[in-house]
Amino acid sequence: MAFFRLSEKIDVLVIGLGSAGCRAAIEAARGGANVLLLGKGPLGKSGITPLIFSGYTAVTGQEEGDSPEDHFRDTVLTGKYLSDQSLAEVMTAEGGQSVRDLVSFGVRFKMDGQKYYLWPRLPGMSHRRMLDIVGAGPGFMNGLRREILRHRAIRLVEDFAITHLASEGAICSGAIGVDLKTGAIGSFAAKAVVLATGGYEQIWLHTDCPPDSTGDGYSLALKAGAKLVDMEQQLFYPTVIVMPEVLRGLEITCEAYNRRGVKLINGKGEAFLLGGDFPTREAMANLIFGEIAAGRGTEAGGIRLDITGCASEVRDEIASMMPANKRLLEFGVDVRREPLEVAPAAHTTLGGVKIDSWGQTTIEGLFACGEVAGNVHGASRLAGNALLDTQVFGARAGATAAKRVAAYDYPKLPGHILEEEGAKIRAFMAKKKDPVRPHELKDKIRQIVWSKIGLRREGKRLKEAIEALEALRRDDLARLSVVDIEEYNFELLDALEAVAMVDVAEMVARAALKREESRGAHFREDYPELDKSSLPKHTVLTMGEGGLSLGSETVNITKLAH
Amino acid sequence: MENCKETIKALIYRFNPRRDAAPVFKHYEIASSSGMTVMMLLRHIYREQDRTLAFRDYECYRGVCSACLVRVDGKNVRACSELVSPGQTIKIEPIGGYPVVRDLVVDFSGEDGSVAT
Repeated sequence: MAFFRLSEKIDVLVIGLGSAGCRAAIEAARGGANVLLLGKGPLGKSGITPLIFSGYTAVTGQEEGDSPEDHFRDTVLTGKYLSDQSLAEVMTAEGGQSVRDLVSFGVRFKMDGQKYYLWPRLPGMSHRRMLDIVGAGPGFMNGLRREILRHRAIRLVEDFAITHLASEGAICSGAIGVDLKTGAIGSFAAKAVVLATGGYEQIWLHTDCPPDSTGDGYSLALKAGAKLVDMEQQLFYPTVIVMPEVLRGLEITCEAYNRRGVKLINGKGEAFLLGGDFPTREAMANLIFGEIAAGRGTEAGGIRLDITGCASEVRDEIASMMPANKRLLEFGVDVRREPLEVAPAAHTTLGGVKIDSWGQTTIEGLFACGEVAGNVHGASRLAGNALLDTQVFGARAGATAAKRVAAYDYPKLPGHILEEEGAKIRAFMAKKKDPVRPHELKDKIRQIVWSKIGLRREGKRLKEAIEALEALRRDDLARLSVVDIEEYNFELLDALEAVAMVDVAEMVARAALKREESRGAHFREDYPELDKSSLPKHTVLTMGEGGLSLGSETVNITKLAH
Repeated sequence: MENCKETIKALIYRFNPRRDAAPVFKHYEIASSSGMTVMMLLRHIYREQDRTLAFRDYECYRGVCSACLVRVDGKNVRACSELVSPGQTIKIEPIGGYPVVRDLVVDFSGEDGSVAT
């Protein structure tokens, strides 16, 4: 096995090359830093950004009567007072600037004459303020890519899986991982590290996020000693295709089918929710999950969305309002003529690494931005705010990371870390009695997480989840088996992701057990009400001497009292 | 009587440029009574038959990202959208125009102006 150590000194290492990572890299370069922008896949062909819906929410000044204060208010109310208000203030105040930046990079927004086209108001929005990105995910990434290529100070490293962050004392000093193309172990010493690794949606049985959204960054941050907040907060999209398998993961837009005549039907053929008056997305996802968990799902574990009872023109309208319709028709599925088999699916991660308004985590030298950061949105998220988050905090993290360049020397990484990491990787490849394949471990994790955590949480089941995950850690991790190949060892990547997923699942279960109330996306059957007896609190996770340490801390409230 | 135990036959390009003298086409058979996409086929082979297969297991679920591009029977297609039916035999190769890393995985980095480590 080959080792290498990148000999160039890196000012800023950005881990993750989606919307947040790219924006951080751009701003760090503008701040005079040399940047290594690194990801475990190729730019624009990995991560969650390529899949995004085309909405981008920001106050540009165009809409009469709207203001950043209104956007702030909408954000905090939607987040059920769990969002750090200093972050929400900054995010909503800088929306207009983020749009100007994106346009200068080459991202295009749909126009309505000379003005930006704005989507009709979505739930929680006091004013129209959602712009439409031309080309959605790929369009967005293309604009960011064009700007990245303009900066010679940004170098791109693709197909590199970071396995550990490095530290010099209490300060983050770089990272180590595997160059997947060659199998070599590599380390990077950097004055600042920016985590932009996206969400953890793949721990769930159903998700509309791609196979690589395994939450690696949460595990990296935890092991580095950083504080993580609200890890129990995962937003689910109510209806995502489960069958046919060729269309699994495709999101079916609820606003499109919220019409009289539409029925949601369980596996027993009973209509349990009627269109025209849908509750909130959280409530819908919760209700549908309840049907499935009670044993009333279809064979594939879903329910049926049936619009065939509507008049012909209504069916046509519904189909035309579903971005998924084109893809459905490509595979011969016509929503106007047949029910769709769907289930709630993990959609956005709300909790994560705690940051301040400059993207600094609780570890000096380590920054986080985008979905991996935790205290921005709270217990639910306004549509279009996720992308705004990546741009505002990506820019702030990048700018602040660049400031470390002048203030600090290049760190030195300990000589033995490459050999240690190499030994860990080789341990996967050793012959095992009763081996476990990485995808088998991932499937086991998903079964535990779906059935014991799920959308409707309960104390006893959560404890069972923790026990089951501890058992996996004890019994399965040592048996995890990887084929001995150096060049593009897909099974190795599969294994590294599975290991991270065990960490993430345990964090989610423990945080869910800690939050003894229902707030936003987190629902407890045994604590179905919001706890109004005290100020809203974050659940807090850190890695202590004896393992995971759980706590809570009051949410930072600046302007909007509960 | 209808034969419901059909197979899909796939000839898949296997090549490690660092170690192999030349590419070979390895023969796989998947028992299936229904159609599947090429992506589903590759996943099935990796999980059930050949853990050494290198491919990019990534999907955008919309058919727009181009991460899954491969060449099937000489034509560039998206593995996530290309359907194969029982009774068919298909040849799968990496997408042309990019350096092959291993098997179906190509190096897209040239088009990004990126630097190899």
